[in-house]
Amino acid sequence: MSFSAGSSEVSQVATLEASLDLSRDKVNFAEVGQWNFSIGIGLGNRSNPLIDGEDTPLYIIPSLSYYGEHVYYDDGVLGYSYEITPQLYVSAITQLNAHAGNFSQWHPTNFLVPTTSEPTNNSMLSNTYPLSPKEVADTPVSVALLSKRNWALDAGAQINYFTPQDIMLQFNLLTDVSGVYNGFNAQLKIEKTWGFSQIQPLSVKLSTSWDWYSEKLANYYYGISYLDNNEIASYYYPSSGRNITVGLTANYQFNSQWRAVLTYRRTTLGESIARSRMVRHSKSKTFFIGAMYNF
Amino acid sequence: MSGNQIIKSFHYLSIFIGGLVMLILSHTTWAIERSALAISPSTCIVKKLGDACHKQLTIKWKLPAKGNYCLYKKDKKIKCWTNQQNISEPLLVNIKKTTTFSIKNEKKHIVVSTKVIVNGATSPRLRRRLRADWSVFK
Repeated sequence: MSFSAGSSEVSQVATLEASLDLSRDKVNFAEVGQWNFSIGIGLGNRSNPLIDGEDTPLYIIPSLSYYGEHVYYDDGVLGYSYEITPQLYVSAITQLNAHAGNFSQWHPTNFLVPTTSEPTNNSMLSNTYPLSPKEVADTPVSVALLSKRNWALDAGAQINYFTPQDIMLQFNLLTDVSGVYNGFNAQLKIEKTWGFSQIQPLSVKLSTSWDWYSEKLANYYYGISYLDNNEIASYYYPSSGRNITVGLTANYQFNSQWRAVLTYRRTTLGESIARSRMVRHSKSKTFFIGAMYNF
Repeated sequence: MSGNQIIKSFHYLSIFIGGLVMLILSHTTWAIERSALAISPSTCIVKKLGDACHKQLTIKWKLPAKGNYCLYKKDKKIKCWTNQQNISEPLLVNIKKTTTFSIKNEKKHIVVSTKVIVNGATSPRLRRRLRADWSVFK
């Protein structure tokens, strides 16, 4: 009597187990044709680098994505992708420009929670006239005194490349198609994921990105002109530059629905933005610790 | 040594080697067959992955010696037999994913095991996400 399993069954097991692993990996993979909705619940904060700019506490974070054969939507990015090889994708994308978030009373990606702001040091902002032009040029400017900065819609191209070592390279070049700032921005991002054979549910991701912005973008959001202030000495026209972001994210997958997440990222503003008198900190930080539930 | 003697020696040698090979093969076959467990059909097809496979299958096992053995679904005891060496009987299973079944002896050592595969008729197609996770914090 022999009951040995055939090799085809063994390969079926391997394929099935691989597909189960992938289906649980909602971080890096999506099921084609399915909407994915998840909610993060926890504690976190996104700091606002602007004077009187409102920090965004992070308690509840909704996340929505859909991946079709080509069309996809993923947390605010709408794209049409083309797979050149299984490692290389080219996409046309459109998304809201995130710089407006610093000036907003509410952040559109986190509208479920209230916002808070650091108290302003009034002595810095209470102008006692007359001031010399240099004093005016050195006086910090509260975002409350600035004219409104509108949200802009960007569109452009994106390239994603995935290496066998779990590294993702992402490059995009975008332009304002909404006529708000009429400039460009580009991003180069490198992201490396580590898995652990001893603790299989755990994955750790380290990322760094280089965000270039054009002079027109910098001027619209961080420049100070006659639209904001009548004191001519206080005008500021920033040049193009780049922000640098480093981030760390750890995920611990309990099952296909629940995972614990810890994330921290720090953005160092480009010098031309950091020198603007509306900027109080040259760095912006985001952290969050909590649980994520996939519906 | 004449040519005939050489041929005769080769003849005996080939018989000896042939016999030895047959002995090894028969011993190996016996070794393979003395412990066996099969649950058939070994694959259960459900509509989609995650659905339960609730089905009557057939379990067959054969062990080298009579004894008291128990069937385990992973670490959970399902059924026990007393003083048995051969079993062939229906087995009702209720599993949602590929599961290992094993026969353990009285010392709770696994003596033989097998897997029942649960496969989806419509397995989901997956593709890479093209946006970094948690980029909502941008």
